[in-house]
Amino acid sequence: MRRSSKIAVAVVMLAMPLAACSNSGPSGSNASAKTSSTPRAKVTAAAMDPSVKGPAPAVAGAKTGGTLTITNVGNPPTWDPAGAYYEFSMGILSDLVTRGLTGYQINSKGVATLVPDLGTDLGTQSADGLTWTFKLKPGMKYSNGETVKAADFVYAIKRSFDPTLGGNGPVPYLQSYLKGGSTYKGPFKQPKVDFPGVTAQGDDTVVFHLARKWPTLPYYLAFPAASPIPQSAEKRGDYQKDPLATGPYMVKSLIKGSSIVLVKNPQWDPKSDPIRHQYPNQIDVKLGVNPLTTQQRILAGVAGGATTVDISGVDASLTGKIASHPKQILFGPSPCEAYLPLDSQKIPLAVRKAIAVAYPYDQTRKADGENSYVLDPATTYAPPQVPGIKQYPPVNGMTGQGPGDPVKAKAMLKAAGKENFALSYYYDEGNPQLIAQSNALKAGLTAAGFTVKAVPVSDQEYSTKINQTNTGMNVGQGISSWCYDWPSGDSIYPQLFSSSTAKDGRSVANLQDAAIDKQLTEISSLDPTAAEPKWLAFDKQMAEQVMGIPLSYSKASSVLGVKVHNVVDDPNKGLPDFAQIWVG
Amino acid sequence: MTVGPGDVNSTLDEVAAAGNEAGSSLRAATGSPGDSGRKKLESRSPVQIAFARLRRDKIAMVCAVIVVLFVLMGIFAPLLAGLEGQSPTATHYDLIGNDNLPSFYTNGQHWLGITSSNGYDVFARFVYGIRPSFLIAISASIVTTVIGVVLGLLAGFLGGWVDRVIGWLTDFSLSLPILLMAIALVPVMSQYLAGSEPSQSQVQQVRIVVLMIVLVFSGWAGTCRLVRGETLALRQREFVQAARALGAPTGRVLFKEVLPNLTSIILVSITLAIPAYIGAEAGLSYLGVGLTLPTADWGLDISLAQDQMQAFPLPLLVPLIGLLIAVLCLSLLGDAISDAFNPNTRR
Repeated sequence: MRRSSKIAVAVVMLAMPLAACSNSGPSGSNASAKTSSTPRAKVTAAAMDPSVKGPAPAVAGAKTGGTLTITNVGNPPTWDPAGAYYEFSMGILSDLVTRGLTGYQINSKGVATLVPDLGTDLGTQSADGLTWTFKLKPGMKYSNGETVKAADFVYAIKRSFDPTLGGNGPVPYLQSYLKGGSTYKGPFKQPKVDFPGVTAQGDDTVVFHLARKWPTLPYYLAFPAASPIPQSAEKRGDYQKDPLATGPYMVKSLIKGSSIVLVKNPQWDPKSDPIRHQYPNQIDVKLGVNPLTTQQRILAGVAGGATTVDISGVDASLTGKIASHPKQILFGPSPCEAYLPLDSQKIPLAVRKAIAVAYPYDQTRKADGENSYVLDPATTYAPPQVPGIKQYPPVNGMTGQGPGDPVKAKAMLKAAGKENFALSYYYDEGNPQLIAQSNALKAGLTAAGFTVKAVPVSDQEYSTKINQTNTGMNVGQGISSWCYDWPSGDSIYPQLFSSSTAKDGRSVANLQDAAIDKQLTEISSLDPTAAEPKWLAFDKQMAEQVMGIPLSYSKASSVLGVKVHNVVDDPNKGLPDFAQIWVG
Repeated sequence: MTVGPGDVNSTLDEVAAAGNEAGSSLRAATGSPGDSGRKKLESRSPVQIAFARLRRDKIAMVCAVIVVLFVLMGIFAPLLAGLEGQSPTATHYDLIGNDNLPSFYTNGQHWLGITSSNGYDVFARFVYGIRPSFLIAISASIVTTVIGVVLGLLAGFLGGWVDRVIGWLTDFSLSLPILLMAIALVPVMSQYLAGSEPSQSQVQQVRIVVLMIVLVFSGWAGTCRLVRGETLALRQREFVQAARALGAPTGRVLFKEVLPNLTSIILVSITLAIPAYIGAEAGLSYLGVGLTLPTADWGLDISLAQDQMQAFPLPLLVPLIGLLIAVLCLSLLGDAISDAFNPNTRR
């Protein structure tokens, strides 16, 4: 999924995604440095729980009424459920407007559990794992009073294949897993094709037919792209302006790129919904705001600031105020993690190990203005809130922090006979912080005895160049940041290490190894719970081979008005769970 | 620059005489010992007269001293930074806390503290930062003036199609939105000039050249128009007519007869252009299209320091105040020079 509407996951700067997204990256002050931010959520509950029933657990002291304002610096390009693939558009739609067969319930400690939403359970897998069957809760209605039917889910899935609606959405998963998905182009381009990937049986049963096993399908169904849309409501590109709501709120007006007004959906049945509440009377969403002035307004509590929550990330110049407003700035985990891609075909293992020892974590972070408000040091390839990920002792000195050890790295290079090994990478010269960061990296690696060639390229070129294969660069080529789509290894490791992504220049190690591919496919086809220890072992295996260096787990931050209550971070989106907030 | 309706020379003579009288009477009143100014009969050129007038302008003298100090600081930057024992490009990540802020304000090693994030020494960057500003500004204003004067002379003196072509060019360059053009042009030209895989220092050199080109491109037209107007007036004067009648070649007439009468315009245009270019260079670097790290540059340092201006104001204030004083003094000096050459514009 994508972090913000400004920057797509794969194209963020060398190793440093967050600063690029949230303006120039928050940084702290002396006073606030000691007040540590919220610890990362440790997952204690099961990742999935099919037994959960509505209504959502009551929030103590919650009041109804009032208007909540949600502001964001970003501006997702589309609000059509099929194309919603930015954290923010997914958050607004799936928390407030659309319901899927499944959804994430976030408890008060910020732990996310996948629970049945419009479905009665989390689906039933056939013995061979190639068919998934979901039953619908009876009597569910759209905001226009019509009943939700199984055919609507089928139609929504089909329309998400349309390149103009769902082209930038999560549809690649469907294309690779659903039967006939690889060739299907949606109901507008191929009206006569009878898509075999998903069918409806009667009005209450949805059946998915798979080309290969997909044990994490229930996670996919929590995407807004899998929420029901009746064919009769189809307006193609205009559907986003007036979508049918199944959630507690419906769209009153949507001005693309500017604002959305949501009002209560009278047809929503709270008893059926284990995830959402309907506390505020109205929710105003404002897009493309200036984060600094908005956050100042919120902290001052003026001009509606008291009932506003801004999710742009704390502005760098406001970090001095974090200590004095501890309850108004919320930190939480984000699904994103930053890596240093290393080309495993061009850099031998001994040299990769030396890079890991020499890597100047602290210097590069300081140069880019990053600190503990925007990230935590990473030691694993998957963020720690993913079920099953445990922090094993750092391998190969990849501690995720510290100034690096150039002396030891130099000795390692000498022992391997690779002194003055040439490393080369592109860096973005569009921003002084990124230039400083590249300088810090170059200094750290040069001190360790590498010959470093840092090539400056413009902002616009950078995003294309780092995803090109055969550029001659051996560091930083591929994806430097990945935000998982659901909390399971199969949404993380295949992206980072498979041949197919390496061929597109979108992996972290340019690993094109048939044995690894086979391993990835095998673990992916296991039941998510059974796969957890295997993914952890795979994570460690990759760390031992230094297939790219995990740098940092991103952190999300939001600024809340004093009248905004019960804000809990959704660790899978890096945003507050909007469905639980009340104002007053 | 005002041009008298009739005889410029006679106006200047009158002005010079008036200036001499005023000057000598002033000195007589304050009882200062006699100098050359008292000898009324000594002949002096208008430029000498203007400088004599300038020397009596206290504000101009204070500004001149400050400007000379800045220039000296720029020239002896390595010495000054060496005195402190710091380099402008050395990072001190060990002195930066995990919140990206320095662990101290100022101390014996870092007289004006260090910048946040990278820990660059503020004092060393301040004295080194004078160099790009003044170098780019002075060379750009010289090049601008040379181009403007030559084209202005040609347009004004030759007239006809030459005048029309040059007039069209000045109109064209004056009509371009300079700031937008600079922002668009600098990255494109840098890329074009530096090739596909340049090193950082190559990029830096190219940036300096491109900045100069942009500043020159934006600045020559004003001087050119000014000089053209003046030349048009001078062309009809008797001494020029006489030189032509005697068969002097065009080049000689232009550079021996007309150009010396333009000295004041040229001096004023240079002195007023320098502060404008220092501001423009800092502005472009601030906007990210000028010089890049690790080069010390005031505009760049201001942009880097502004995020932490509440917690750590010194890294922002030092280059900001330096820039303010330099531009203010140069502007006041430019105004004073302009006033000295045109006493009738004096307040």
